[in-house]
Amino acid sequence: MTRPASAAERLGHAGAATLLVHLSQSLLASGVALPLGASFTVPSFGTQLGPLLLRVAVYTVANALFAPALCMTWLYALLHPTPLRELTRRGFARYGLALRVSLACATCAGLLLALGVGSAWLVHRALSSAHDARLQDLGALAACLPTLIGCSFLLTIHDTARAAVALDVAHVRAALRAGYLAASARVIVERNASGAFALALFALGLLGPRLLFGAGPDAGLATLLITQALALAMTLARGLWLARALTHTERVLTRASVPRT
Amino acid sequence: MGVGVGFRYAAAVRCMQPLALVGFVLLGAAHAHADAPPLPVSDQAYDLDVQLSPDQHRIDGSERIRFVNHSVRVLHELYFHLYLNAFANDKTVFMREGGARLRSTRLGARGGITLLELRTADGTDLLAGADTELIAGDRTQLRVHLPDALAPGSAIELHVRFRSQLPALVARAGFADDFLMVAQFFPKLARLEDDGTWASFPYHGLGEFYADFADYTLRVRVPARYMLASGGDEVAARSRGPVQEHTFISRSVLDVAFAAYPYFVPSSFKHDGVDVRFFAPRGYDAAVLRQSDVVRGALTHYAHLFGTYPYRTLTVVLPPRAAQGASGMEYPALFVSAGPWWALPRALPDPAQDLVAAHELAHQWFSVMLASHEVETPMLDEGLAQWAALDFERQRYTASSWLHALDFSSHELFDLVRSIYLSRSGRAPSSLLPAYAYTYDDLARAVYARPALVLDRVEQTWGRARLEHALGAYARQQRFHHPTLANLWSAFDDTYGASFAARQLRPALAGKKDALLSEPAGPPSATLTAQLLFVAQALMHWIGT
Repeated sequence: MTRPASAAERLGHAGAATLLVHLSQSLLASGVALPLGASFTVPSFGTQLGPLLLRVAVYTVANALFAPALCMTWLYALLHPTPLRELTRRGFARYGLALRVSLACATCAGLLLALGVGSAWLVHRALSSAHDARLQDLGALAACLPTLIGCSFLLTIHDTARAAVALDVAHVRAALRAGYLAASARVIVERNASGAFALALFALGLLGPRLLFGAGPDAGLATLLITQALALAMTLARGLWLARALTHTERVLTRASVPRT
Repeated sequence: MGVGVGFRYAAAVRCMQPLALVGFVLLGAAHAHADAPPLPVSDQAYDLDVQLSPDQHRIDGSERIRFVNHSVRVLHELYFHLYLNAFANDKTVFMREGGARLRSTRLGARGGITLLELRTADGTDLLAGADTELIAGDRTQLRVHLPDALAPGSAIELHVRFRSQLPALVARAGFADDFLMVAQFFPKLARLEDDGTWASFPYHGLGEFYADFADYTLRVRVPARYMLASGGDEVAARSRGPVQEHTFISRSVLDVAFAAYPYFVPSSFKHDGVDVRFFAPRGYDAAVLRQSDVVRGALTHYAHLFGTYPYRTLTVVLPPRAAQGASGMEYPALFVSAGPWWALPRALPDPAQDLVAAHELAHQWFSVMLASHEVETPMLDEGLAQWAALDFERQRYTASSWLHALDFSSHELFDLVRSIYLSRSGRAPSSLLPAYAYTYDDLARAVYARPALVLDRVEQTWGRARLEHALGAYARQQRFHHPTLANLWSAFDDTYGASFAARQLRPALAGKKDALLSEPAGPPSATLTAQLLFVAQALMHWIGT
């Protein structure tokens, strides 16, 4: 019996797909950032903010719609070393199922968020008689905690359910069930640690260049190099987590009776 | 135009007792802080005695007004402003011009001023023949006919009794829960120009004020559980059972106002000889610390650019969240800042809060000391205050690397303003129009943003030293005067050469296509673009795979 590949090994043999994911997202991001950067510095009265915001919205929605196929391609690449063309074919073939998994998770997250906002608002209002802004804010924050915990659970299920789709689970409900079973407390912590690491990289990208070089015109190239390195690191960290999600889900699927194609 | 107190009081001196003059000079000097030149002497005076009933949101008051005709014409009538009547009904100019939506809130309870008595010192009733509705539906102005003509240089004393009802707080004055912002609450004379015309106008939706400098005594009786925050020096405070009486004196100011709230947490510090007092709701400690830093830095920065802050005290009010309608407003020696979006650690990025504090403090120069007509030329107060605030913030953030790093706006502050305020469809109208000619969006772009950006371009093109010289000369020459645009043009012409204002500054402020600002500013900032790309990548990363 062969030892299952480690997450790092999986990421190693998915190099081309990882690069594809990174470049696709960077391309979409540059479609938003470059016109925005130019509009910040062109001193014309009457630059159109509306079309600019529309462009941001269009790119964001395009990214969200394109993402399931891209993610499935990536997950297949993390599963087995396969030619990129075959990977993309398989990724796009599972697009519908992956999108429905995302929609199901997004619906639950929306309900949770509505609950969180509602309870935060109620707590904020209830504490208004204390006439202490900090107490009100802390109360609202505390009221949001269940939602935050619920959302972190949902994010994990989302990833493990997609992993289940990559592992040939044929139905949305079955994928979500497999994702749910795979999302143990340890796996949730692992997913959140990966997310926190990405956030730390993000903060480093925002603050680091400014602290090191200031924001003068000469800092442009250095800032670009550092932030791009960090963006790549964020993609790799995400890839590493997806590889682990595959391992966890694979383990659950061998134990539980989840229908597969 | 633009004649100041210093010039006008020469006429008044003729009708004043020598001893009284000495007394005023001494008092004036006493109320300036140690490093500032003495305050000019004012012979106009308001003595206000009011009782605040917080539960009814009502003020019952009396006032004694001493007015001197400084103009060259004989006066047969007086004009008063009763600005709280702007909130009386939907037909007022203020309401028709959308003033109640000024800070994105809706007017609940109405407000207004009822004049109960208006007499001369000898008891002649002026109210009976008064014209109370100079514009149909709007009672924010009042014209009274004098029984005897008032010759140039002559003085008159008036006795007034009034009752003011505060509206729900939507713009500047009113109540929100237990917080009361008591402003424009008393009958006040319009400003008399030197040629004898009255600068009387209704309370406009987007306009502010214009008044003469005067000495004010304000006595307020209020339930003991309320704390008061007012500009001016508190000279007496005593308890009378469940009521407290506070007395404030302000010299050479345009107006008085105060905030009352039972849950204020006061704090104070001294900076550059000024007693700075903060009044903030509970839980705003971090915001107070943060804004204290802003006030310290900005007091020094503005004093260097425009001359010393003139008063001994400066009061800063942070309104509670329910009272955001009061925020972002300046009064002499007092400003109402904005509260924090989050009452937690001080280091959290909140550049908007800093900018409001810096902007309102800049108004202590541009409108409080340089008392331009805020309705006819809003650019002279809002535009210059906005430039001053952005200039201060840019230097402050550059000087402090941690602040610089934590607030994304930092170095490109002027660029961000350009983006936020100006990146709208259509060209912003001229910055030199009166306030009532703008829509709210246009006002933000034309009156706040463009003047700040034009001055920034002037600095980029001709250097910092010359801009400081021009603005400094304007601010120092017009201190305690009523400057007009002509005074500003003249200060720039003196520094940059004859007709600079006509060739460069005016066309740019008027928004002419071929003016200074139409020139490209250079390639986009590589640093900013690199960071935007990174933020967009992270966004795509989180939304996507």
